[in-house]
This record gives sequence, C-alpha cells and structure tokens, in this order.
Amino acid sequence: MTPRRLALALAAAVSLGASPAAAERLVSSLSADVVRVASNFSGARLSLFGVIERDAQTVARAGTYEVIVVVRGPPQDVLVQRKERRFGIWMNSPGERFSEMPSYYGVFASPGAEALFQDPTAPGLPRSLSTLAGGNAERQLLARAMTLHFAGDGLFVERFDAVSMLTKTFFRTDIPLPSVVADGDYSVTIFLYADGAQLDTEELAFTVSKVGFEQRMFELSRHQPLLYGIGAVVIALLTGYVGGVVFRRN
Amino acid sequence: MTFYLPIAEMPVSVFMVLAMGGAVGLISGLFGVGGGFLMTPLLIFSGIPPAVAVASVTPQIVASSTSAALTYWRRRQVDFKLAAILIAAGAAGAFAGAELFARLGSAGHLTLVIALSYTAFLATIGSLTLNESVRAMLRARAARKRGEAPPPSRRGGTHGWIHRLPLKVRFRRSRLYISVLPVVGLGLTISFLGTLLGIGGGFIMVPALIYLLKVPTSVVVGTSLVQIVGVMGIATVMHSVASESVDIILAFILMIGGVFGAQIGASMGQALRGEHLRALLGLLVLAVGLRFAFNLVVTPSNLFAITVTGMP
Repeated sequence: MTPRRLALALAAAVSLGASPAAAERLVSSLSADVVRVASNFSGARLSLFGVIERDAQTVARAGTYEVIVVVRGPPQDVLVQRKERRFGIWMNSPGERFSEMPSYYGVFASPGAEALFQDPTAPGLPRSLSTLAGGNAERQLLARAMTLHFAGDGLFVERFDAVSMLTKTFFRTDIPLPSVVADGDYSVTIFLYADGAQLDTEELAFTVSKVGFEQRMFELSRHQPLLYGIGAVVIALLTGYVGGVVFRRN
Repeated sequence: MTFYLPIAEMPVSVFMVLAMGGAVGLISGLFGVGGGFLMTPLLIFSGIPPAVAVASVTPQIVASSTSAALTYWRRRQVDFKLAAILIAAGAAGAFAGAELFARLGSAGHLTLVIALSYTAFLATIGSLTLNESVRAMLRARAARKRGEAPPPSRRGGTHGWIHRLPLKVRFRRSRLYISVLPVVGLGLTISFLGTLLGIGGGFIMVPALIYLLKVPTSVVVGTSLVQIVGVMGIATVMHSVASESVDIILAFILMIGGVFGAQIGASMGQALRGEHLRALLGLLVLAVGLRFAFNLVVTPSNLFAITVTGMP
C-alpha cells in the first residue's frame, strides 16, 4: 500500500468514526466573531453555546455527552533557551526552536472528558497542553518550560471543568483571552463524545484585530517600516520643538 | 488608566510611563545628560521587552535633545561642520548597530548583550565620573583651607598622535585644524553603541570632544546635542526597518513626561555645585550598572528564556 493510499484509507476511517450512521450533530455559536483590540483593551471573554441535536431515528443515550473545545491562535515561532551559568554569569544556551506553535491554545472540557485525554491513541482526539510538542527529552523539557511561560500569561489554558452541561444536550463555555493576546485568525474546534466514542466535530472561527489608531500604527510599522520610522522622527522633532518653545527660559 | 501599546502588544499604565519619563527627564535636566542610559534600563526592569525598550527610547532621545539643541543653535554654540561629519559617520554606525540588534534578537542573545554592555559601560563611566568629581571636591576643599580661589578643573594631556594624523580639515567654529579620521572614528563608535543600547551617548561624546579633539567647551554641548538628534533620528528609522520594534505610543508618552521632568530638573540643577552634581551622576550611573551586574550573577527565578522569534 503506497503512503498516499494509506493516508486516504486513514482519512476515510477517521471520517467514518466522526460521523456514524446514528447521527448526533453539534450546533454551536460564539458570542462574537471579532474581538477588537483598542487602546483600553484589557483582555476579553468570549462565550460559546451549543446544543447536541439528535435526529428522529436515533434513540436517546443512557450515558452523558462529553464536550471538548480547543481554541488555537495564529501560529508563531518560539525559541526556548536554558539559562546556564558560564564564566560566573548567566547566559542562554543555543536552545530549541519550535515553529508554528499556537500563540494561544485553550482546551476546555466537560468534567467527564478528562478521562478521554488519558488514552493518547484515541482517534482524532484534541491534544492536551502537555503533549503539544514532541521530540527528545531535552526538547520536551523545553516545551514544558514554554507551556508554563505562556500559561503564566494566560495564553495557554487547560480547564477540564470549564464546559458546563446546562441540560443533557445544551452546553456553554467561556474562552478567556488575556490582554497580551496576538491578533489574527483563531480557530475553535468542538469535539462531541459519548461512551468514549467521537460522534461529531464542528469548526468555528473568530478574529482578534486591533482597531482604530493602534491598528493603523501596527499595520504601518509592518508594511511601511521606512515611512513609520520617518514619521516617528518627525513626531519626536515636533514634540521636542514644541516643548522647547513652551518652556523657553530666557 | 492603562493604554495598549501596538508594537509591544501589551497594556501599560499611562501614569507609570509618564512618571518614568518625568523622573528621567528630571535627572537629565538636573545633570545635563540625555538620560537614555537610565530610560532604557527602567523600561526593561519594568517588563517592557528589551528590543522594544531600546528601539522606543531612540525617538524619545531625539525629542529631548531637540529643544536643548535649538537653544544652543540660537546662541550660535554649534559647530555644524563637525556635527555633520559626526552624523555622516554615525549613519554607518547606526546601520551596523540596528542590524546587529535585529540579529541578536532573533538568536535570543539580545538581553544578555544589553545587560553585559550596560554593566561594563556604566560601571566604567560611573567610577571615572565619581573619581574625577571626588578629586575636584577634595582639591576645592584644600584650596579653601589655604584661603585661595579654587583651581580651575584639569585639562587632559596633549594627545599628540591624534594631531599628527593625515586628512586634515578646518573647523572654523571650533577654531581647529585636525585630521578627519578621529572625528569619523568617534562618530562611528558612539552611534554604534548608542543604537545597540538605546543611549544618546552625550556623556561619552562630550568628554571625548574636549579631551581627545580639544574642541572648545563653548561649542561642545551644542555640537554633541545636534549630533545626538541626527544620529538617534537615523537610528529610529534603522530600528523601524530592521527589527520593527519602535513603539511610537510608548515613545510619545515618554516624551511628554520627559519634557516636563527636564524643566523641573533644570531649575533644581542651578542650586547645586558642578562637582557635587557630577558625583551624584557618577553614583547614579554606577548604581544602574551594578543593578545589571546583579541580574547577571544572581540565579534567575526562571531558568528558561522564551523568545517569540516571528509569525510565519
């Protein structure tokens, strides 16, 4: 079997598992599609609501549904270095680079879903923070340091009790975004489980964007850096000149 | 009241930044220095990323030096030919400095280089200044005891080799006929260091012009200020292009605080004697240098450094 055919077969198997004949379907929505970052931005909190729809042929389940929500921010490259004492001072080791790491990674689950993370071989399972980056022992250690760092900023969040089932088929969760959140496109994937099997997934998205003056300044600094730099010098010269005139001492 | 910085991508308290700008402005007005060597460390110690701190202090130095430079210009105390050569050489130094700055940033070594350079640099300058001013104070006290007028401060030795170099140029305002080579070397070195570390470098330029090139003291400060405006203006553009880390909002708040602080400092400075001022300045510089040294030696609370190197 060629790698290509193997991949196709795997994809087919996964899609069969994801949408079984007995259909339960996720219908969910975010409280906002766009998070605006203005000068007074101090973080935001999005709400996600969803219902689990069951079609007429499907019989009601005896067990409970479990829901996992995974939020991924725009990718970024991260360099993680170990601080080492050399010649009496602390300096950074060459370190490891992690490319395409999410700048925000949130895992929110219903209380019973935590057990699902224990089995890493379960198909299509969202990855928890601790397994985000693979590699050798040193790389995993550095990845852990990175996880702790971003978790401290509220950029990596893992909450196994954050999705509350309001009724048997109606759930909600909050997505907390800290003030240092990066702008760009965010993806939200919702996974539905019952009895340890994946029933459905749904993809949502939202955008974090700077608005107004902040956004124009940021865009200018990235797309027209020369103009931005010259503008900064002009502002500095004018401020200095005006300050000199206002406080002119004879 | 917090304000979101678009380039640093973090919110800061406006009053904290205004207060820092004001405090450094006060010190710069008091001692007649640019204050970049204090502003940049203050921002770093308060959590602004070192790259944004250095790059954003650069336009702030332009603003604070402009008003002072204009005052000296009006009094015709600027040697524009000397300043022009210093700035032209400085452009190359600023380019190299901004380029190295951006490379060190993506290799994750910028924080260490900034800390090491500040330690070495500030400890040296601080102890030299302190040493010189304490000697001046002792001499003045001894002279007063003997009932004489205090002796004029010592002029440096005659650096003959500098005056024997080729490519001589005449600087009319400074009444000098010297080789252009040391002028170019000075402009290059100071702007390179200034761009890398976020300092104007007036506190090295002024003694260098006096003791090495024998520029008359009447035009030294004005010429140095014009050189700082030019070189830091170029450095602002270079940083904007090379590392895209100039935060104009941060810089502007610092400028506003700095303008007010400098006025208060300047009037306070008139109440203090020259050598006492220099001794205080030396202590201050030494303290900032030691603060950096302390961070280098003491075991950090977090044993890992995490740097976001880019968005693909």
